[in-house]
Amino acid sequence: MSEEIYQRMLKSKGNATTPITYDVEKGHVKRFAEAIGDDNAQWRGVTVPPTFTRAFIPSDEDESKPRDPNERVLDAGSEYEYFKPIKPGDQITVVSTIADVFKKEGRLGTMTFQVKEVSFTNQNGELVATRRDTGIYY
Amino acid sequence: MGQVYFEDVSEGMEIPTLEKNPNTRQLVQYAGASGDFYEIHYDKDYAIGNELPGPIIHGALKNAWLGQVVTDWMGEEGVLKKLSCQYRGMDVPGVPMYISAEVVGKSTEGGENLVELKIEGKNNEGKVTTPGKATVALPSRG
Repeated sequence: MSEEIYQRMLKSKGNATTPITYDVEKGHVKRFAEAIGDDNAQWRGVTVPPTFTRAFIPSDEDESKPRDPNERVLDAGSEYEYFKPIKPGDQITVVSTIADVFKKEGRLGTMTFQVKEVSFTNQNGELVATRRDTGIYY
Repeated sequence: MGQVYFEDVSEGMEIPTLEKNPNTRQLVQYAGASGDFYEIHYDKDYAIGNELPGPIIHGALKNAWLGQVVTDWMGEEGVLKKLSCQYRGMDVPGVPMYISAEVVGKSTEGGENLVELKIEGKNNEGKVTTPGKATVALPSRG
């Protein structure tokens, strides 16, 4: 089963998602800041919390449906880089590319590691941030 | 907290620790705000079926706290350049977390005054489940 996941995911290496664009809404930023418990005044109309780009979900991740219980995934970590501030009223376009797929033996058996590089570009075509995510499938 | 300046910072300096007391309600709130509705974060039976002890805290939520400890400290004129974190251990609702950070480097590059921070997200037993790093640009008094 685990080897099957690896073989299937290996084929997706290099794939990039169809771009999807999100409006940065002031009320959404407020709800996000409340959810993380961060009352910084900057998140009330000036800019967004550092991890707000989490809410800009790439087009291949459909969160509207329950997940396949056989697809188990753990988040291993993320690296964010910031180039320009994101502000309420911006339109942010997200593209996620599968940069790497590799496997390791661990306590959960064969674990497949998938590294995604996600880019965030604003309405002026400026790259505002990137994120490199590592997920473990088992 | 007032504005922190590059000149005020030295290697080995610790910044104020952030304490968090997550509960399942907050995980539901975060699921709604982030759009990450993975069931392992709020559905106990589903989580147990995935060989987990019960619902676990979203890694990205812990990542948000690693960001908050830095943005709380750097002030309005500080600019976050990089933030990273690794999830080495699971954290669960009902157990407090403490996010601490220390200055590990200072440099001036391309006219920017950069400070490197080492961040540690710990559970109530002192175990570092969520280590991370950040780079911020700070204003100068000069």
